[in-house]
Amino acid sequence: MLFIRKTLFWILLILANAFLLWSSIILFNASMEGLAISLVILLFIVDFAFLHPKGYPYRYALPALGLLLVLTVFPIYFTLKTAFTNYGTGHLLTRQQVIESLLKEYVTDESAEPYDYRVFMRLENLNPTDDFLLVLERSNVLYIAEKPFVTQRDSKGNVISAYSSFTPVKNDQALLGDRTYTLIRSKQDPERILSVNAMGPKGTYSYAFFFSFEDAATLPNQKYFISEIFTAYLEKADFVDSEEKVLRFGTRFGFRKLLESRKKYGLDTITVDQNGKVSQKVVFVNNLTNRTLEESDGNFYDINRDGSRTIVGGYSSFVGLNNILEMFTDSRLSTPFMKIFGWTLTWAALSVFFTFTVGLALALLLNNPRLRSRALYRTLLIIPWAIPSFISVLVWRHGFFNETYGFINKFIVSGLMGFEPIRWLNNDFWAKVSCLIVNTWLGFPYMMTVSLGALQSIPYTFYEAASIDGAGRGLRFRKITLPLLMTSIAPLLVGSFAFNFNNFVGIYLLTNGGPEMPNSITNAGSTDILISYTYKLAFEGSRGQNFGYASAITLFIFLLVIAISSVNFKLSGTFEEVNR
Amino acid sequence: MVGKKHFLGTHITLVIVLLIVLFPLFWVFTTSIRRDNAAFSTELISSRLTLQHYKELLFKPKNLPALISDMKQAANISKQYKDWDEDRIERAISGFINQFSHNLLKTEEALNRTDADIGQLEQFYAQKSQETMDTFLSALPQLEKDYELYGRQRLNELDPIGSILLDAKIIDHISTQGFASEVLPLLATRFPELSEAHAFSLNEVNKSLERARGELASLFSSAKLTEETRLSLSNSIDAFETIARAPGFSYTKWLREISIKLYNPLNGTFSSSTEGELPQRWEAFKEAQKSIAREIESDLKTLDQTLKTVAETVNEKKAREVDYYLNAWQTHAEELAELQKTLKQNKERELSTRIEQEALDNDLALLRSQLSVQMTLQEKALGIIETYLAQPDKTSTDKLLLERWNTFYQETGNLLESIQQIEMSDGELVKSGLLPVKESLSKIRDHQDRLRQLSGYSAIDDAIQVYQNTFPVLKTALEDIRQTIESQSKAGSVLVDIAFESDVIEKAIAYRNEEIGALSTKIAFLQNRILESNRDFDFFFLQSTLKNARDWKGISLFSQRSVQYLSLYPQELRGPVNTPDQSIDHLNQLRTLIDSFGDQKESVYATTGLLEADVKAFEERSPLYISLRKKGSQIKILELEEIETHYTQAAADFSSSLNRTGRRSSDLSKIDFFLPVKGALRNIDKSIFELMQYWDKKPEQFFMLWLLNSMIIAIVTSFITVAVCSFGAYPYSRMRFPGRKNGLLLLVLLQMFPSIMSMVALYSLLRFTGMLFPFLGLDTQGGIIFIYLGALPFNMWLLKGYFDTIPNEIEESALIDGATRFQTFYKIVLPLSTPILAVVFILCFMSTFNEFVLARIMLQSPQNYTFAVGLQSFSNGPYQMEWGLFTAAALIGAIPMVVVFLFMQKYLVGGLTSGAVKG
Repeated sequence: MLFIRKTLFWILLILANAFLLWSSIILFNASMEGLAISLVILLFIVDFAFLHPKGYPYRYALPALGLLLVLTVFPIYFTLKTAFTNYGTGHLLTRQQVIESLLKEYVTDESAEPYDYRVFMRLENLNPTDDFLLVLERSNVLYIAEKPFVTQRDSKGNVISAYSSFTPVKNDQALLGDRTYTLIRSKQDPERILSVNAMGPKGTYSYAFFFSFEDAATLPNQKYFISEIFTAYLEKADFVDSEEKVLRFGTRFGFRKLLESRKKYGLDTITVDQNGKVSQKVVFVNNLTNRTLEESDGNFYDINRDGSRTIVGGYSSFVGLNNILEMFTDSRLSTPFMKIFGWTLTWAALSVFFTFTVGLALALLLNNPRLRSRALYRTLLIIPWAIPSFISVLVWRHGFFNETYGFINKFIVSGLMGFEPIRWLNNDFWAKVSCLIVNTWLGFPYMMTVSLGALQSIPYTFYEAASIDGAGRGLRFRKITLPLLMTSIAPLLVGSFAFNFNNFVGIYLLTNGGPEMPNSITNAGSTDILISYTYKLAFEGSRGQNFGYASAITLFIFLLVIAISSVNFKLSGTFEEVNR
Repeated sequence: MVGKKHFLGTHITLVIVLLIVLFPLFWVFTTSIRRDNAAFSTELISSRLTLQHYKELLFKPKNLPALISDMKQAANISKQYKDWDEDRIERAISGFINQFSHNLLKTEEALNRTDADIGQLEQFYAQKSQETMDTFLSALPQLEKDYELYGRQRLNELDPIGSILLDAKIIDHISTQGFASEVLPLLATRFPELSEAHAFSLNEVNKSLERARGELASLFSSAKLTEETRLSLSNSIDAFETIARAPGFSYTKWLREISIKLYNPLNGTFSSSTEGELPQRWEAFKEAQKSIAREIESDLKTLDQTLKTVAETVNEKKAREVDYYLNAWQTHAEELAELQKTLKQNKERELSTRIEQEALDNDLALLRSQLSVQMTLQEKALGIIETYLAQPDKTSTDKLLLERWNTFYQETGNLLESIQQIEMSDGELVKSGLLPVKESLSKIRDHQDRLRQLSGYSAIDDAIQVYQNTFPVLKTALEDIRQTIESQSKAGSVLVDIAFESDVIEKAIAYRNEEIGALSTKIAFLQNRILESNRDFDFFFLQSTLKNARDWKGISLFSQRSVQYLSLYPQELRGPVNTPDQSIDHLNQLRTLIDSFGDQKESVYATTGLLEADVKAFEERSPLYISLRKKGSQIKILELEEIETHYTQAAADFSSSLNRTGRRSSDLSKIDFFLPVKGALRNIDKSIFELMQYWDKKPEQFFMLWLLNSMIIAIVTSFITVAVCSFGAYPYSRMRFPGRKNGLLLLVLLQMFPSIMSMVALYSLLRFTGMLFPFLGLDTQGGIIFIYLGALPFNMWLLKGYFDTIPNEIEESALIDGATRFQTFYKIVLPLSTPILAVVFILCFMSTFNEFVLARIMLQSPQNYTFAVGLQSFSNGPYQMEWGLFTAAALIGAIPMVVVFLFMQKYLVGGLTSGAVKG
């Protein structure tokens, strides 16, 4: 029994090692080094956990640590790395990928004579299948082309490129790949090809004439042809013959005819002189104009006839501390950044202040044990906290703060008080006010609850003694309640500050970051906090997504929050607990 | 707390706070059950209630347009039907068809119900209209008397000006709008001759028209004509009468409208007739008509003449007494405006010129300082020269030197000339600081001869050099000074001109103001009179309408005109005109409602009939279509296209008008007058609303699916999180091992990383895993659950804290008794920690349910959205104003969470505060 268990144990351990190793190799190849490193660390921990006697505790922590490594450590590493690059729109691919895609670009020779084609289809019970072949024709020479093989698809499954080969037909026969093709012509009209027979190791198949643009009788099949065959196989296919001639569908004839084409960019080696050292460098050459492409700042540039440069491909490259420096020096970026940073601090502080004030006030009211239906009041007052925050924020945004139809403008401001409608979400100041209102509404129950809990821990005797000594209610509050409250609540307040510092939902869902700041090249808004600003930069850049810059800001936020949390932990004595 | 006995204040405060805090919830609830669109309504709470939104969200009933698109999909064998066999598709289609017919049936039922209610309304209408008319008619004699009295009083009170104005108004009205019947009584009072002329002309026209009819009759009697021809000829005479009585009749008009349009086409019939005399009769008839038309024209022309003469007299009087003053006033006012504008412009020019002057002064000061610098140099040189003057002669033979000196003296001369020029144009040499310069230069010139004799001394030469070096600067400075002084004098003269102009303008303004002042009383008087005469005219107009107020139509017209009149004139000028009985207006509205519904009803019945027939036809042929489609044919399904066309037409036809009817009837139901039929009106609104639910296109939404997604994701995530965290927290609490202390700290710090930014990394992570394991990829639930498992450290912290409170002794004794470490964990520690596990589960559940950002990025197809993402996309999309659906969905989504929260708040609060409150 023990023996079986032990073998099982070793087998599983070996399997786990193998799997992790294999995954990290794949990841390294796919240039996701961060993830690979995480898995390698995990590998070490696994081995340590199961092989070393002192590693026993790690067996328990394994799943947690594994998930943490993948889902928390890896993103941190990734963000760190990206902060020093220019990863973003225009620089999404690696250099290798850009090179590959440039080498795949084709230019069709629109002036050359085109190839006509006819489609021959293998039928099954009179229904078309997806097995077909083409017969090409140019200058009275016939060619057979086989069905293209899809080489690359994009994330949605659409075809990016496909490959097929073709060969000329002699005496109605052709040999292509491992099959021999024979054309069957009609007896009455020798010009017409009825079908093509294909003989190969997998058997003999007959392909009947299915569709041709010149033949009106095949028109009913056009729809099927276009939707099932052309877009699925032919549109992006390269037809190559034995002499490396490439045929593709171009723009002049669309899907009616094939044209010769060639690669747009080729590689060439040139000698460069770099600071006295002579070396060989591989560069791109535009095959049509014979100009070399320039490469700088993470972009490949092609030179036009008038000498101006156009970008043909960009890749993500290392830019060093550029992002961080730009954050503070480039005034187009640093002014919004400073404003947003300022507002973030104000917002967090004011949110804490308002929620705490309201929460404490209500807690004081509810703290009387002789108050009837206390539980009922408390339950009802907690409801704003219970409702999922996104629902509340959306309701506030559309139903209450809408300028024209919102409840507040329609009934209170214009109706009851008769003022001009307040432009809640379109005016800098009022947008901030509305954010604070909603956040207070959302957050005061939490403060109320913890205040209630803390208030109950203050001994009643203190108040008695104070009132005997003649202290009024205000004095009792200021000298007894507040100080004792603060010792227990302070960590929570700091925690709430940190939470609101990064309170994405409260800002973004309500105002989308608020009315746009003018003169900002990034779409910064006046109620944006750092986190929503980074989000917009990374995912909503109307002027392009700038992950690099966003990551730099994230690091900044991270450091800030660590600082705030350290303060918090000091206050709550967490550090001592850890040391216990 | 101490000694507090009354809690009334506290209760009141708490209740108020509760009302404010819970108001949004209340608003959400009321909006979700409203029938009208809360966004556009002015009412806070509506009485038109419906549960339609909830029905739509929860049950997603299919209405007609949805069924049509379903049938299309099935019959075209697209999407999910591709793999079905024929029988299955056929059954699906017949299911759809049944639902379709069912919906049509329901529509007709709703329509019938509405019809019954409309019947009730008809009865009410008949009864009430009779009542109202009776009331009105009974009050009518008195009203007529009052009007009569007032009218005569007004006419008697007319002063000359008022009289002129009234007459002018009457004539104006007749000239532009013809001899309308309402104006005739007034015409008779004020212009008896014109009235007579008009009556006479009218008589003549009538007689001529009689004759025309007579001609027609004789034509009819004398010839055999078809029914058609008879009809068209009668119509032609009717048309003749219409245009003859309308203003602007002329012979050419008759030719165009009657002769060419209506008679010429008949020429063929008559000329080709076989009956002997018919063609001639026809010609005779036409000739007769022609002459009658000409007669009428001449009659009307005579009337026109009379009118013109009267108009001339009246207008001439008016021009003299009224218009003259008004025009003068107008002119003065316009001129005044112009003048003031020019004055303002002048002031601006003055200001700018003064600013210029200041600038020039500054320039001069600058130049002075430049000069003074040069002056110091020159003084020094001059000083040296003067010391040498007394020395013995020493002439130099240096030719160059002598030449240089000559140039020097020339330049000196030039400079002095320039200074002189400036001096001549402006004696203010002192101001420009040129006086010392002039003096210094003059001195040099004076010493010219003496210096020549001393030319040998090099010191003198140096001094001369120094002098010469100052010259370039002096030259430019002089030039600048000259220009500046010129500009200054120009500016000065400009200011003088402006001052002069402004003076003139102000005088003109004063004059205009005076004139206007003089006229003002007269103008005020005239305007008052004009207002009164307008009002009088309108009153008489109204009075003549009263004369026709004998049937419902007349009474309605009279009350409408009364309302118009009352809206134009203030209380004091109203006379005997009172606000008409509101019931008239209400009953008219009811009439429109009933009539419009009648039309819409017809249209709806027609459409349902058509659609029923179409659907039947489709049902018969659907098997055939399906089999053809299966075989690959792309045949068009005509029946479906018919159905679609008919539906779209119908939707365009009656949907908006039916909605309007519904709204109108609900509006009417709020009026007290309709209290007896309030129920019927509200039922109509309700039935129409229900009816339209079958026809309106509904937005596509997957709320229940989204809610389900959220629940599944949240529950699974919570389970896994609780499991993993409890496993992970255990060693940190119970064991000592390398990396324990720092590991914990690291964990806590890691938690601080804003997860929002890890999005890019997580996105590429999911994309990668999606390639390996399809169920863990982007846009899958597995993927998003995987992502959510990253929120571990905080939970581990909570669990560790709780584990710490479980005494070690229990486990130690278990270990002694032979349990393994792992058994102590899952047999002892876990059961004891159920409270905290529950807390972690709920916290995790709630935060996953509320999580929005990551879900938004990772999930892309609407079917996979979680509730948060779906709700946000719905509220920001084209249905932004569909508050009913949105609030209903919000409520449905919020309620489970709130219930769970409220039940568990005990645990939650305990868990949170136990971590926070130390000691």
